[in-house]
Amino acid sequence: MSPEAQEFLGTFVSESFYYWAAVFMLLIHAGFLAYEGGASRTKNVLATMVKNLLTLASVGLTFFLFGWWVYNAFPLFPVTGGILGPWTNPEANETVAAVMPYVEASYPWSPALGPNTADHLTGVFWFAFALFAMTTASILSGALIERVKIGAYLILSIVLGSFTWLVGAAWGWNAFGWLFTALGYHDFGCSGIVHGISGFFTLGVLLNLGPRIGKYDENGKPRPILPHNLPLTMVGLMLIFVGFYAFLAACLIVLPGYEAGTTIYGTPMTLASIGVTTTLSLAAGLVAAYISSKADPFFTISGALAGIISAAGGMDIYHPALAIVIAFVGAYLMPKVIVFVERLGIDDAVGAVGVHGFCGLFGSVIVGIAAAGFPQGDAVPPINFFGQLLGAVLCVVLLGFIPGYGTSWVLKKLHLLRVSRQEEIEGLDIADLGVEGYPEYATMSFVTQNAANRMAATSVRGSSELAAE
Amino acid sequence: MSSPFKTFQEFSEAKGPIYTFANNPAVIGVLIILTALIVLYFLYKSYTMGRESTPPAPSTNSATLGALILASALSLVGLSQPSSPSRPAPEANSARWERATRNSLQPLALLGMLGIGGAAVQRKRRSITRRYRRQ
Repeated sequence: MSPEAQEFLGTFVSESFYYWAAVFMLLIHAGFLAYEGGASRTKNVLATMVKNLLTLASVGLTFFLFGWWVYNAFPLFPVTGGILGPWTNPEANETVAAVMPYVEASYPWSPALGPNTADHLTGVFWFAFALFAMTTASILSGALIERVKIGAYLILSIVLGSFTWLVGAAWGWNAFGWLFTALGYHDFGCSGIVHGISGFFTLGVLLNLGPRIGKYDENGKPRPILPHNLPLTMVGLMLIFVGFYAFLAACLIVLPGYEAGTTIYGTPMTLASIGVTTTLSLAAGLVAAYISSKADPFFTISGALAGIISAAGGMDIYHPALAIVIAFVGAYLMPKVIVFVERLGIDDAVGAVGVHGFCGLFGSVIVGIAAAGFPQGDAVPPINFFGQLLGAVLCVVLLGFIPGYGTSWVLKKLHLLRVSRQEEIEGLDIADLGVEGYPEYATMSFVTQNAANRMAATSVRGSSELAAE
Repeated sequence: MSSPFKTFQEFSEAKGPIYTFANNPAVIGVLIILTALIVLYFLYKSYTMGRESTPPAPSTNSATLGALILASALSLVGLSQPSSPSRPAPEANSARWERATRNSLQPLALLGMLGIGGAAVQRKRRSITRRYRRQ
């Protein structure tokens, strides 16, 4: 084999790895679609699913326009440098000179993003990061179902998916990021960067959005609004699990010429260990949530995700038994957090604050205890509790809660956040889309309308007017 | 400290285990025992939680059983009486449906195949209901 062919093969291995990892990450969206659709009521099922589907569009396009640039432009800002862009002198210093090629490859007009035989990898990294971004925004989607305006959700998804989490990723999930270089922050599987930020962003939005009509009684006591199709929700979560294996695999950096795989921080790791640890964290999370929630099906299956998220921060270095214990603790606490949030009057329809916000925060902070002392580079502090705590809290508050609360507050003041009371009662399928998710079945809205017509009219409605089975 | 490495060079050039507590097998042993305890607790709870979630078993004392037998016997009395006059008159559709159902029960009663017949009745009932809906 010629040296050129060998070089191409090395490039093609990397290109293929990220390409297929990103394709499998799309299963996270298929899963979220089913998960949210199942969790909604029949009158909102289509609107819920369409809203989630549109995340691919809102985040996909804005990630191309500015999101990819945000990730590459913000790693030094505001601690070790400024925001990098066309205005930056590439020779300003050694660090800037090292980062600028990535920044220049991230502009929408960059030749690296189009078909380019000299660059096979920028495009697949863009693809994988775009899927990361869509996943982050999708976490928000489920919590807001049944009362948010689609336009409001799209704006929020862009703020979260194409801006704030990417600033967090630039700071704490980037070899040049100041959270990593200055504090030693380590978050291999994005516990805090993806899940913590999106969970707390969601919390901020929920405070302004308010609960669904009927969620709380006149005494403020929460009432259950049951999923219309729990099996669909469970299948959705199974798809999310598959996607998460790909998500975590895509956190491995394997480039042409590398002699071993590394994390995004340049520390050694193996892909095999991700398979082992993800599987065991999933299993331990299921057990913990099953016990903690007394076999509640919704909490139990969410426990698997909570387990993975809790262990994701240090998955590259945890011993499997350590990951099991960490996943168990995170997932055991998760149902308690969700119930606590509900009692506060916050209607989180899918428990996103508990599963992603709490477990993301827990998963990133616990790295500072469970993996304390791991060296990360010659001039980089080793993993330490202070760095993890400060990094995680900065991410979830500054890039999660505050932007979520602020953006939704503005939308609320402009009356652009929530649908009208009448639309909410009627159901968003009719209000937003003009069609029902189950037009051939005698759904609750059909029965209600039918009963009202019977009361109004003297003639009895014939059975032929009923929807066919 | 859970790290088996002191310097980054040592870590990055390692050929072998790079995980937490790799230099402290006792901690790994404790964590594995903890894992085994979690599994055992899980198995134990899977039985006890089943009991917690199901309603308590009905009492089997003689007084309760007697009351149940009496209630069952009284319920049979209703079968010997004609239909209650207070019941609303069935609509035309349901009258035809009942006739069809009654006819279908006769051969089954003769054969004594009530178990199998029940399923057949359900199928018949469905198809008849559908036919009326289409009208």
